[in-house]
Amino acid sequence: MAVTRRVFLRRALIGTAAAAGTGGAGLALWPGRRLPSPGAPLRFFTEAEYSIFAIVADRIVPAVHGQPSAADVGVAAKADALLAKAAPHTQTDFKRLLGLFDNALASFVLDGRATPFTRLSPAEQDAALIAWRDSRLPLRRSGFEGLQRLAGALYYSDPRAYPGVGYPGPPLLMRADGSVVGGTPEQRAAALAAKKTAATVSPPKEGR
Amino acid sequence: MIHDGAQLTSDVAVDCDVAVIGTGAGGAIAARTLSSAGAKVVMLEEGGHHTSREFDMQEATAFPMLYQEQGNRATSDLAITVLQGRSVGGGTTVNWTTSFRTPAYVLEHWRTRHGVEGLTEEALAPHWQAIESYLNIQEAPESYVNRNNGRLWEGLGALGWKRQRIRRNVYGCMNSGYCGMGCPVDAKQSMLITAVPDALAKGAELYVHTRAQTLTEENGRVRAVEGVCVDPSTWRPNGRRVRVRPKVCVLAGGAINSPAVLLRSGIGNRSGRVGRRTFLHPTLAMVGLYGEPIEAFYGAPQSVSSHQFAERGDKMGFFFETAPIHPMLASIALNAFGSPLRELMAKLSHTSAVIALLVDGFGEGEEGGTVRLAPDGMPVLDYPFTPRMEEAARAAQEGAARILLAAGATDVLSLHAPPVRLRAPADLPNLAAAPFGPNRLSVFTAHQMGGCAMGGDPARSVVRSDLRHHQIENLFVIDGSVFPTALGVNPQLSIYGLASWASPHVLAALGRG
Repeated sequence: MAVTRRVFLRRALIGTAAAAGTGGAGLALWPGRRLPSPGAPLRFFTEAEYSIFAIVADRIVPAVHGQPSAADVGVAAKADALLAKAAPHTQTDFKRLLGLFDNALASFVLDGRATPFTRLSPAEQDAALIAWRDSRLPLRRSGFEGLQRLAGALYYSDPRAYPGVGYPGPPLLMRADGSVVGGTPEQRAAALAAKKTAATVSPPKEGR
Repeated sequence: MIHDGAQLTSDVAVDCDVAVIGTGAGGAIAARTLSSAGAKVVMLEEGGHHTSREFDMQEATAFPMLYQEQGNRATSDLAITVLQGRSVGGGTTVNWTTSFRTPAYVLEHWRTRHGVEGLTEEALAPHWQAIESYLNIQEAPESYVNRNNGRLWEGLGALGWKRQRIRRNVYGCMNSGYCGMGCPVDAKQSMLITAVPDALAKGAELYVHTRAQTLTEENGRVRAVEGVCVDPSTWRPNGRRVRVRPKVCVLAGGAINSPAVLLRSGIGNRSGRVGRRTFLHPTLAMVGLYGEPIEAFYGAPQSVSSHQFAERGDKMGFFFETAPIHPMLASIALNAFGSPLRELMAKLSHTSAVIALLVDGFGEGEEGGTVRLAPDGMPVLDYPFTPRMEEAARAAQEGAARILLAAGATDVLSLHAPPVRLRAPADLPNLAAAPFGPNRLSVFTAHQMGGCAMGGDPARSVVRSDLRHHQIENLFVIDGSVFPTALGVNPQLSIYGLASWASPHVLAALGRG
């Protein structure tokens, strides 16, 4: 769940500025692809940033048959809620990262590819992610890791992802006070009804 | 009594004997000891007061609720993921219960190289014994060794390397495996259910969702702790303030946060050493895949360790343990994306992990990390990768791979991006050829130490051996930030022992010695 921070990518930004000064301004302004607005109001992302992160997340955890997609579990909306509570300096860095990640001029300077990430084919997007991951620029690798870990963490911490990884989820436990935790809602209800199917905790230590 | 800063309707000003900033291993033990001696104690805690009723064993619940920066803390370049607690009980609410006394060689190194006086095994032994009894610290019985730890045990045995069962602070443990998400059945004897309630029962006051923003100094003494209340729905200040005017101040925010309080305050840093020498036990891992289920998400997370390579002469040492494998942390650790990530995650239940914790801070000129402040006043940690660290990381990864292969793994994977795959010891050169550097592979820390180092020389350390600040006479730092080096073992019991040992010095400063 380690999100990015300090991802200034200074060299890339300097390169972008230099190219913009010599006629690259059109590329720098080429807008990326937009997804339909999410249902709930965004607290952190702009709609453009939401689209970038959602499209990245769909490549980090691609759709496969029989399992929920990143979009199905709302990875980008989860990221929006999480980042809304992040420290201001972390928020600033993450917005810079997303902007640079989808910037056509920056990708032209860095990788010779003059198209926003969000307008590439899936195979081209994967190649772009690998270029960031394997970059000789440490700050670009930081950017990749920030996106990869955040998308992966938000997807795999959703219980809808558990069946696909063979994780049965938390076991059913009964606390000393008779309340139950873990298991499925049905198991909890049954345990409360029976008050005996769950294991119980030992009584508190003497003299505490 | 517990007050919630998120709910305060007016500002608060309170006078007391001792202000304790932080309720983790250091702060809670100090608060309990001082309250028991009759001192009026006020505790401040940035996190919330969350109890087992809220602990639902889901990573999506636990990390935002119980960890620093909602589980998102990392070094400034994101190369090291920082797992650090933030709630009542601090790290003890989310740690994996592993309990070791400070090794003798570490105490000796502090004495000879850092001028630390009086911290000997003999002096600490009665404090450790009392804490071990209080928190029911005992060796994990064999029945609590899950298959993840069992593979480590077998692999170590096959290689003839040192191995031991771990001691844990649990009572009535149900062996479920969710220590890191807050014990759902109050079996873990964390500060949340032991020393903090004990201090409250003796009359201590606790303000939660209250961040110690700054300390104000007057005539060489801390005059007040300026607390800022936080709204947990936005994690921003809500405008309410808690000002505590203590006779003595105990700073116990842990490594990273304790130095940040001093840096924000602009006091107590005449030496320039505040935030310096921050150590992490940088942690590498290798994972093994098996033909049969391991279910490393269930069972006591850590019950086996090996200190075979903890001391390596002039080289950086390391020690082996395991990590529980739940889906979220696994997805962060495995450095893959797309179909390769899907394929690796699909084998989660058949995966075991060996982690190797590097023992940093013992080398000549080795300075570790540095805490500084972001423009918003929050701490940022820089931790450079060094050639010395690389040598140890490579040796540690090779050792972990050998353990997993000896334990019967059909495939062993590194946490490189992308992973290096080994099927036999003959493949080890592939691991040696893999790159090493920031964000070339996943590195974690669950043990943050240093930043307010104790020592004899005021020019090279922040606090004295008795944990009193070198210049500010009514300020003590009692947490993992005072360690001059890493510990070579999981830190909680070292911090408990140190806090118990230092509390009489705090009482003496109050005039109650």
